[in-house]
Amino acid sequence: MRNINISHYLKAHKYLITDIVFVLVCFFSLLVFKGGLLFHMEQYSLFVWDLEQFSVFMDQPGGFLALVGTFLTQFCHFPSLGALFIAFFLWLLAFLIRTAFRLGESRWLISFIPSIFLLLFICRLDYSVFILKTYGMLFSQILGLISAVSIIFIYRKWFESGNHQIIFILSSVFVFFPIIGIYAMIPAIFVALDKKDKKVVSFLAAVIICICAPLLCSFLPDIYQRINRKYVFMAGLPYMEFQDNIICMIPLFLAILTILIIPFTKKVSLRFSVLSLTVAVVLLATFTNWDPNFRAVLSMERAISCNDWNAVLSLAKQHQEPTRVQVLYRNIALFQKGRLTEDMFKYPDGSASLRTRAHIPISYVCAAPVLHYCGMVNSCDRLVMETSASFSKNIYFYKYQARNAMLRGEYELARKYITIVSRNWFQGKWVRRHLGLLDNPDAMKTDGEFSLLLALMRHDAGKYDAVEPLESMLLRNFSNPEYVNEQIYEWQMATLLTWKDSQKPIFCFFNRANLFPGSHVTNGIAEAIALFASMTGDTGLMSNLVDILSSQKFILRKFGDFSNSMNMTRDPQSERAREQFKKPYGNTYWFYYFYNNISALL
Amino acid sequence: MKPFIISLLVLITVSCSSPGYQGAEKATDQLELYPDYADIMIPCNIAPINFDVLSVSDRCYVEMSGGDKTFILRGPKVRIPERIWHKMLAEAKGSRISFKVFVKREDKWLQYDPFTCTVVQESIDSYLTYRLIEPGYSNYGYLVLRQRDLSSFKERDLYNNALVSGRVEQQCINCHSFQNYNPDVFQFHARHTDGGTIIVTEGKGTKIEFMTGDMISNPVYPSWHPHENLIAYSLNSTSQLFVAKGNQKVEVYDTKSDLVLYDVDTEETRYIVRDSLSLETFPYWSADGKTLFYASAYLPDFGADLSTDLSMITEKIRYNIWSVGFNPQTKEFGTPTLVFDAESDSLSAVTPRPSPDGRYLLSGVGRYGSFHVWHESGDIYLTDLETGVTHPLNEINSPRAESFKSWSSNSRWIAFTSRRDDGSYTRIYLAYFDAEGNAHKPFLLPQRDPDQNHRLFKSYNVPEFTTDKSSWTPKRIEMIVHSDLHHATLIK
Repeated sequence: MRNINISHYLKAHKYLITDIVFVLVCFFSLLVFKGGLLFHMEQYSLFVWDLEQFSVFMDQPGGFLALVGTFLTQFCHFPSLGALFIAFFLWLLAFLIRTAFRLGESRWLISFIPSIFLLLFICRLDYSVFILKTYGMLFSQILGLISAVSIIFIYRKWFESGNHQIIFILSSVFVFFPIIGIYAMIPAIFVALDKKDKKVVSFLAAVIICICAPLLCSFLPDIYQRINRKYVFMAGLPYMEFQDNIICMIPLFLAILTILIIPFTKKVSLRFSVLSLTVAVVLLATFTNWDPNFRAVLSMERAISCNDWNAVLSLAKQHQEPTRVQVLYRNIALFQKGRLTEDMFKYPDGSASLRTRAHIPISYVCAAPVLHYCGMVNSCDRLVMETSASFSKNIYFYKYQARNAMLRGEYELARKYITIVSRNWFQGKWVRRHLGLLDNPDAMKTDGEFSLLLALMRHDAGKYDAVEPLESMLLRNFSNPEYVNEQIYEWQMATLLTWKDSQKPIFCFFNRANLFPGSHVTNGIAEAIALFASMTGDTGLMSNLVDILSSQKFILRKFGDFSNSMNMTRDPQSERAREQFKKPYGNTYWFYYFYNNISALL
Repeated sequence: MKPFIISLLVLITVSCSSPGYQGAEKATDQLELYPDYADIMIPCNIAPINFDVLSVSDRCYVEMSGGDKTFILRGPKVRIPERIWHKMLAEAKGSRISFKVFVKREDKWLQYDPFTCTVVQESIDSYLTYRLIEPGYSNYGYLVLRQRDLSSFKERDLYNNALVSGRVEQQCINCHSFQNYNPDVFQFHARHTDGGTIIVTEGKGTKIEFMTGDMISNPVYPSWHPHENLIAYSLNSTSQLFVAKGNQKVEVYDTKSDLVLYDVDTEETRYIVRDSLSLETFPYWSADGKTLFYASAYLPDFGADLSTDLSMITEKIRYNIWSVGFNPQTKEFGTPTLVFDAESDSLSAVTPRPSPDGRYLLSGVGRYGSFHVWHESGDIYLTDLETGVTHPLNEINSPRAESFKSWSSNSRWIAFTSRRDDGSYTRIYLAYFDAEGNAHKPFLLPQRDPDQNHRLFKSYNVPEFTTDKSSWTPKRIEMIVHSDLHHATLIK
């Protein structure tokens, strides 16, 4: 009896239960697998509520979608909240489709398909999220389709019975095209095809109207002064992102196509609906971007934003074949923990390429935090300014620009940047901390984070003219072997050892040893100097080294063992030898020197 | 009904009653305003000088008086209605408008010492055109040439690159220049997508490609002859160095530069000055069109020659201001004459701007180099062309970079860009220049909401006066940008 009751309950509430399951699945999927992405999109966004910003958005047809999308993106500061909003809007779209198209029992599952494609659009996003020009993309396309289906709903509710379809098409396109862009065409097409008689006439009229509205917008002299005619038929779509990468827009097109096809599916069976939905889900699972390195990069970026260096290091340990971005983030975290050259070779190293369709230099991905935390504030500023001019301004960049300005003593400029950050929601903690330092700049000298940066800024790398890869910039900056202070020395050695420079580290090491006899030598440096000193064949040098490392003789002994093993190995560069050496020496500089490929640094 | 009427009457009564600051005590602290509009000279046709009272207050009122009229404005965000303001300007022309600021603090009204603005008789040109651009280095995004009506807050785009690029492709637009304050005769360069120099004369526009032969570059800095269809251009091979430490973030320098003259009617170009040992740049015509001013640096003066890597000696390169006579009938140039020997004072002078009345010359001066917008030492100097004496315009200079400047057509107003606000984003300042050759305290270009200056993350670039707004619209100019290129001929 009880089983029959449950079964009866489920049948009676199948729509509600399916909706709840759909929302929960979307919510948890986004939260668990794309939480880092949501936070990133919020940081790479900027919402300023004033008339000027409003007019910038409304100066393009469909700009209203981006405006609302940008507003909602603020909630992604808390990925759970962002995921909830996205899940809700995806459900709302499905609900409206079901209602507007009056989908019966056999077709109601189809109502989820456009939402699944929109979810796929979000889940496919890759490193291109670092070079976005469009704001609000997480929400704007969902809102576009919701608006389109809402117009259809209004038509079905109040205008269907009359005989004024052409007027409805005309008014809805001309009214809504400026607001929601190309999405205003969907109801026009639907209304034209929904007409009982003279379908061809009404369809042709709809097509003509749909073509005229954008063309009028682009040709009339006094409206839309910033519209490019070439893209007017993509108004409201994120065409700026995918010009060379149109394949990434396919999920969007599929979502739109599904909605247009729905009116023609009146006779499909429940089985077909289930099959269609299954195919959509399989496509979602197959084409979602599951790249673990991408997830790690986003998670590390978020951890750095929160100054959670332990989290960064924990993530660094988990990925055995990291990208250079992860390696650089790891190094920043190690430096903050005071363990850069001590531990950097104990972590996985690598040069995995960024898995992305577009060619994206890593400087676009991580230059801001890397250069900033290396004390290269002018270089950080330059790259941030270039990137934000080319792509879009956002909270993330403004935060670094504010900090750079504070470090340079440009307090009015810093306040300008902090003010714009403060106008976005959920930035209060960051704003309060930095305004506090701005009101008392001397406090930066004793602040743990800023004092480190100020120490790094004592280094002057002069002038440079080239636009270089990021790690080349680090090398150029830290290649001067003169000793300035411990912080700069750490980065000098870390950079030189990364590039396998065997000369300058020797100079730096012995110079420091002379300046500060008896000072602590980190394991990484000791290992490297042992190797480089042996490569010179200079016995006097080796003897000096032994004296300096008198408390770390185990390193010299271990190096001796390593050298002997290498000498006895027939082909030390072979994969077999690599595996052989990995276990005993995998966490040493020697393994890094002989078995890591640094061509990717260039 | 009765209680409603009583409430309404009370509300009306309260609204009409005096703000209550009569008998206010004198404030002991200094009044803080943004922008600082205290004791400035303003033209009789300027837009309202809206300002914010930054001094702490619970309530704030401002009494604005001019002639025999007084208006009470609510603060701390003081927004003067345009109609009232222009009436006030008309009343106070030749005299002063005074502002009395009253603040309520801890239940006590305080009054600050009033400040005044002098309304000078001379008007300012109606429009100012400028470019808005990020203070970046090489990359750019959305760029716009914008015209601002100086008597109101209205702005309109003259042209913007979104029309052509849609932010997908890239198009740089720069170096806008008008002929003799005429808004319908102008030129600017478009680079990269649909690139070319856009030259617009009365009712007609063409797109020109100049690069030909051994020219070192496309034309860069322009100057229209005031009444002939001739444009003087510099050709510049420009490089940048990025500075790793300090507040000066970039160094821009020329490795080569020459001057050419372009005939708009015949589409022919010829050299004005072409000395491989000199860097000639920033040409500018005098108002009568008989003299061309320009800046020049002679390499041997700082131990350089053709083989020298100039990136190593940027801080030694110094420019002087020269002039050369020009016969508009024969189109021949005379012998160059030194106007301002900045190098002898260990300075570098560029961007000469002669006044329309022919009496004075403004230059941009710094410790070295040519791109002073990036130098905190960048200041504006004035040369009296009658006496030959040059001095810094201390009244308008600041510790930060002052750069591009422009005279109004009556030689009484100077518009210039300055980084004095935050060291990074240039803003436009206007200053009165009287008939005795004195500059007066500059003031920030009025905005409807002064806070816009803090919210705007672009720099104002190359402010140029025109006497009216242009009849050209962005879409009309877009047609020229999409049109076929005309190729200029280089005459040797």
